[in-house]
Amino acid sequence: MKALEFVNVTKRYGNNVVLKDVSFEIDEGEFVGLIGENASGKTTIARIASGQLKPDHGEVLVFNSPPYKDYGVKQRIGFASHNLLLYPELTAYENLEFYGKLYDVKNFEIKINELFEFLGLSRKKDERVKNLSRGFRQRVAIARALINDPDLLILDEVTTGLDPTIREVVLDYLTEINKMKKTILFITHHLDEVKNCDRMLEVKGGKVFAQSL
Amino acid sequence: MLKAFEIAKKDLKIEFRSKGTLNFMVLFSLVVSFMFSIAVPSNVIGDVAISLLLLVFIFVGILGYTRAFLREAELETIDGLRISPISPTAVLLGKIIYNVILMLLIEIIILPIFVALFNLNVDFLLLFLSVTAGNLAFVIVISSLSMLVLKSKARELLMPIIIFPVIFPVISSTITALNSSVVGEINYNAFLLIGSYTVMMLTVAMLTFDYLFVE
Repeated sequence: MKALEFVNVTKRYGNNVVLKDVSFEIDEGEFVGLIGENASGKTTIARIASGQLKPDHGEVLVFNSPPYKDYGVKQRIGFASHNLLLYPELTAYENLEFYGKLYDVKNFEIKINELFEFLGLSRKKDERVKNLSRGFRQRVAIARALINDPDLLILDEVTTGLDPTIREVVLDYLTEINKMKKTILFITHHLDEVKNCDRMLEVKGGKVFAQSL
Repeated sequence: MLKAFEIAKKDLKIEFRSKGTLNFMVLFSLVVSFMFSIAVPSNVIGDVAISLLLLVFIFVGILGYTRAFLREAELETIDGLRISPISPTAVLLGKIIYNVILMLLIEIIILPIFVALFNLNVDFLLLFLSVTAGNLAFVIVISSLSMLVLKSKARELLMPIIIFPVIFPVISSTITALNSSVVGEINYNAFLLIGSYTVMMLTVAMLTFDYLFVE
């Protein structure tokens, strides 16, 4: 089964065509790296794949359903990016609790504590996000993306602001969860971060090309 | 529906911590009420006080209720709602519930002060019901239309221009309902009109919000 399919997708912002007739697919259980220069369209791909944006042309399917229409399929997607999607006035725990409830996560207290333990956030869980450093906020954002135990994980430059130790922990964790048949689309512009991927794609001039690792 | 309550609960928690919108709304209402009470000549105060009361709530509503969506847009957390497995209608309902609670808080604080400042001889319960009915319609219209102006750079300026033509039927019916509180007799027709318009606007908002929510 395909976890993610882009079929002739075009997306423009005003007169600026960001994606031109883009087609690619990711099989269930694959770990795919997506690289590209700044403003090449990587984030647009991530936003379309996670259901935040509608393509102007073409079709996007996540587990055979369009994510911008089918709210059910969003239950299976985890998304984190350099834009943290966190509420600064809420604590780290409250942010995850809120998203846990939106995702109908059973026993979310246990899940949150597990994620905090793993990401070294246990001591910070009752601090408001606005008082956390960039690196800790990024860790909370990663925890938020994992709260629903997603089958497809879309990560858009999530290692920005992480210290090298935690960055390695996160990358190793991704390799681990990929072994559990979880599909990962890992977007970055650091080539060394895609070394554990099954294959690599490159966005260039609004098109997506296969690249050798 | 439960998720709509979760969104409202989250917004209330944020608001009670930051107090940005609530403080502003209360202060703005108080300042405008005091200004009106001083500026309006005493011989016409009885004729215009009710309309001024509505004006205070319209001004404060346009500036305050739009914050529910504007804050999400400014923080970019609106994308967090877009990726979540919830229908856009639940998001809209959550924002409406949050704004209704803000509205009731403002009414509870401002109405007695306004009545005292203008020395109004009114049926207070009827006054409260009339203001609440009108404000409920404003909340629904403003909450729904805030999504429309979200992408505009001049969104705070654009909102009043869009809002006034849409809420005009509610303004006139609410003034009729408010005037009935002065004579102490309920005007069922005015309430019926406000109610029908509110239901109609809520239905239109729920049917169109999906298109506005996903970019």
